[in-house]
Amino acid sequence: MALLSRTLLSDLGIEMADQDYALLEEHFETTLRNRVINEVVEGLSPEQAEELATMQNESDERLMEWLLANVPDFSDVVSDEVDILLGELADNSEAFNSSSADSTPEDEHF
Amino acid sequence: MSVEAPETPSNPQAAGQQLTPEQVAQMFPDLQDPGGAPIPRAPFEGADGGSAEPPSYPDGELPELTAAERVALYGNDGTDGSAALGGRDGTAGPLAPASGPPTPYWLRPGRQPLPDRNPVTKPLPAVRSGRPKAPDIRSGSADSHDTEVAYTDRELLGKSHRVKVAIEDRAVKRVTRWERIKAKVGNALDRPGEKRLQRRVDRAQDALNARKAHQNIAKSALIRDRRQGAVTSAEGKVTDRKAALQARRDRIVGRTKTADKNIEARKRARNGTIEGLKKQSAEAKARKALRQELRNDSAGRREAKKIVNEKISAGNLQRVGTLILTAEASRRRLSGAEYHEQVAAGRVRATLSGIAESQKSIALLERESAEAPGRINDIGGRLDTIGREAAALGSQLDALHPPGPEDDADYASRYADLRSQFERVQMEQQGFRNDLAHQRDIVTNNPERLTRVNGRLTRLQTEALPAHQQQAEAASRSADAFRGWDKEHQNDRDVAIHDTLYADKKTKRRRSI
Repeated sequence: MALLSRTLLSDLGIEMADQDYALLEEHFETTLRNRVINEVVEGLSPEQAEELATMQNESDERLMEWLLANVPDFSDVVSDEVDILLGELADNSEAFNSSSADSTPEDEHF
Repeated sequence: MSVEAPETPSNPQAAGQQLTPEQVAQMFPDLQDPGGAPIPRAPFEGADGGSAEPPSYPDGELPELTAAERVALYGNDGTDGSAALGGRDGTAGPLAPASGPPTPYWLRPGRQPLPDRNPVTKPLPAVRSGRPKAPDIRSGSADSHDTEVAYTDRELLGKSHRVKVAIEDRAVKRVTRWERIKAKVGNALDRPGEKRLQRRVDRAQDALNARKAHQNIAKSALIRDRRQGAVTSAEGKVTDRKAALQARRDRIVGRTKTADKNIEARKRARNGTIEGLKKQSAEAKARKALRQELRNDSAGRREAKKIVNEKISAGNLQRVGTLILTAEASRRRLSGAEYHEQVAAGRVRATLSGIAESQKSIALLERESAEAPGRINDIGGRLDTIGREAAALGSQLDALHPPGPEDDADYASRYADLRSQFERVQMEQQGFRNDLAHQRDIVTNNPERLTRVNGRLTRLQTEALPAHQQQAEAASRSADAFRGWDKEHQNDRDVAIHDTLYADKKTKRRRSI
């Protein structure tokens, strides 16, 4: 999965060590996965939920097809969750930047 | 929203299992003492990790530790308040500052190690568990420890989390500072040279002043001339040295300015990215809110959730999530690749258009240059003719006598006629002069313009076009690869649809029979 990348973080002005990046990426993906599943399940009827439960051993392709066919606005749901989480990251990166900008003047006289 | 730490086999701490010494050593190499002894447990922790029988304190306060407990926890009785910072026997307490390099925050006690990155083997806990409980300090149980290390959005992206700390400590400041420091180190290395140049300028200036002072003292013209030569030479030296000093100062100032400019450029780009993401996020939130408004069957949703939580294993649910996100990632990659493909193709088109423009300009300049001498001759002849015409009209106007009482009407008409002819001729003359100046400009400057446009054409043809074509081909290949991948999976999906529909039809037919 490449929804969060170093390039994106770099564009946001965030440079991280490998370990920090791995931690953030893991958090990001876990959070996103949970939100997406939650949102997908929100869109299912009890019958569809039962049907999904019977498909646990199906292939990825069939599962994906089922989701596309049964979850209303599936693409929008997923895309929106990604955008929302990226927006939160951007919001907070702005805070990081402003807080770090506050501490830069000490360098000015260097 | 919040997400609890996953209870996975790879995360035994969250699952309430005891870590083996090998696991501890693997996960927290810095926390193990040199002798390889296990990390001491808190008094309330049992052999199984301390989660079995947590003590309860109904009055909301932790009881005083007994001396034995203090010794067990801190290594001494801790009565002087220094127990946590270090024992009297010289052993470091749990809060004692490290003598070596500080422990990274992700390895501090109570922090959770990275969960298993294998998405298939890792179950997903959050959907069925809902919001995590707030940490209950009264219970003192392992549950509160789990809550403490649970991941929440605030922790992930918010105000007081280690990620934020990590970013603050290592991220933007590092880039900014590094660039500034680099410039300032370069400037610091240039400073001694600048001072040396300043001293040389001062010395040259003193020498010049001294020579100027002596210049006019001599009575002999020969000596004065010779001293004038020395003054001129000293002036040249001062000028040269001042120029060297100025160049050095410009370099110093330029270095700082470049660093500041780069920082500003990065800041602008960063703000643009942030604004774009925030806008997309706001739109997505609005769509999500609308979708939630439109879902009215809350009882059905609750039932569906219950069914999913009860009947689908966490691992399978996680598999579904990973599948969805992988598809989304590939969709975004394809979209990005197609965008880059379009941009690269646009660059190629712009370069080809620039080449065509340059070729047109060259043809025009060459034609103008070829025609200019002939036109100059032509205009020169016309200017002579029209000059003579203007002079004749001027003479006629001058010769026109003031009117007598008997020929008023004739005078006025003749004067107006001559005047208008004279003005027309003057305007034509001015037009020819302008044209002549333009043609002379062509003769003088067109060779330089031609050289410039030819240079641009050569650059476009030999550098820009091949580079942009190469980029366009790479972008196209990349987009094709993503399209191929997407198509392949689309085919799989089509086959699955066909199978599903065919199976449905067969079932229905069988039922009807």
